[in-house]
Order: sequence, then structure tokens, then C-alpha cells
Amino acid sequence: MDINNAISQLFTTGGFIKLIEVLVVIIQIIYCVFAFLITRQVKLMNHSFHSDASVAFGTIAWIHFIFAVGLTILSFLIL
Amino acid sequence: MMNPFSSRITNPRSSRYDGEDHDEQILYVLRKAFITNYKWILFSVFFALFPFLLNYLFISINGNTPDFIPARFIFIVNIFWYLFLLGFMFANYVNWFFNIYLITNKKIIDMDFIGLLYKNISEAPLTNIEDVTSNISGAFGTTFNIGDVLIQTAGEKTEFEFHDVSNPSKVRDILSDLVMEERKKHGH
Repeated sequence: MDINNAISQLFTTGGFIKLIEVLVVIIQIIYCVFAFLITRQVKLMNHSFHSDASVAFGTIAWIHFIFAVGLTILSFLIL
Repeated sequence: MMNPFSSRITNPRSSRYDGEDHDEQILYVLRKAFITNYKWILFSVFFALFPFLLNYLFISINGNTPDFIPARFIFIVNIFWYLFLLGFMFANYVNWFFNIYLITNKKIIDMDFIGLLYKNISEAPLTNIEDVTSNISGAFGTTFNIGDVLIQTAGEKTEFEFHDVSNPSKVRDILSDLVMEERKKHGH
């Protein structure tokens, strides 16, 4: 497929949807970085102030990160 | 188990902070009043309802969801939307939870975490506290009894501010009493 053909494909409904799908995957990758930053920040916060809820916060942060990575992988596979 | 929405905890048994002395005891943990989180909570409610509103809009215009959008794409975007919402709520909640003012039997500590990348901790011994003032301003503060406590100290950082705490007069009273006690102990 030459470049002109690829560009003209973008202006079809299918091409536009494909472009949006790629953008969604890119946003999800960026979101994974954000989710990882949350785990680091929660660790730092728990270190500064330890309370009853510290373990729960750490667990939620890691579950959130794992879900973000899992969803990104799933998007790669099915989009 | 402490109330996860409490903005003032007295004598928290299992709490400790980084740098706590062996003979030090946390007497009060103060946070901004929980109601000050209303902005991100309202935003989250809108965020949670948005996919339903969008779906309702499509159905009322077309009679169905648009068929040119693949079902797998709608599925992924919906899950991602709610995961993002969870992350947004969690980040805001922990930010509120860990932005605390501690009053121990020896000092006051102000812990600030702004966003994900900024941390600032200030402390001053109770004996350095010179003056404590509380104020409540505005319709919101007056309605919910929320205000600031300003603490003048003799140290390097001359002013501590406990922002948006519930019942600031009570906090001022607690602090003043503790300072008096500490001064008596040290013979000031």
C-alpha cells in the first residue's frame, strides 16, 4: 500500500476508527505510567505517615496498576 | 479501625510518622474537612454517569447506538473510562488522606503532598509556638464550621497554617492548652 492510499484510507469510517483505536492504546500506555506513579507515591506517603489503612492503600494502588497494564495488553490483542 | 472519612482523629493507636522519636506520641491527626472534597466527588459522579448519558443521547437521536463503531472498541473504552475514574478518585482521596497536620506531645507537623510529585514536611516544637489564631470566613466556612488555624512560631518557619479544618476554634483551644502544658513542664 503506498502512502497516498494509506492517507485516503484514513478518511474512510473504518480508517478513522482504526486511528482512534491506535490513539486509545497510546493513551492507555501513558495511563500505565500514571498508574505506576500512583503506586510510588502511595509508597512514599505510607512511609511518611503509617496508619491502619496503609496496607489497603498499597494494595489498591497495585491492583489499579495491574488492571491498567492488563487492559492495555487486552487492547493490543482485540483492537 | 479509624473512620476513613474522619478529619480529626484523637490518639490514633497504630499511626506513626517518619522521624517520630521513641518517647513521642501522636495526639491528634488533622485533615481538611471531608466536605472540601466536593469538587472532585461531583466531577466523579458526572464522569460515572457520562457513558450512560451518551448512550441515552445516541438512542434518543438514532434509535440505537451507532453501528459503525465496533462493539469491541466500545467495550475497551468503557472499561478504560471506569478504570480512569477509579484512578482519579483514588489519587484525589489519598491526596486528601495524607495531607495531614499532626499534633504530638512534642511538636506540630505539617505534611503536604501536592499532586503526585511534590512532598513538603515542616515541623516545630510545641515550646516554639508563640501564638495560635483561628478564623472562619465565607458562607461555606460558616455553614460547615470549617476554617484555618494560624500558628506563629519562633523557629525557622515562622508560620504554620492548618487549612480548612473542621471546628478550628476547638483545634486552637487544644493547641493552646498543649503549649501551656509543655511550657509549664519546661519551666517557661
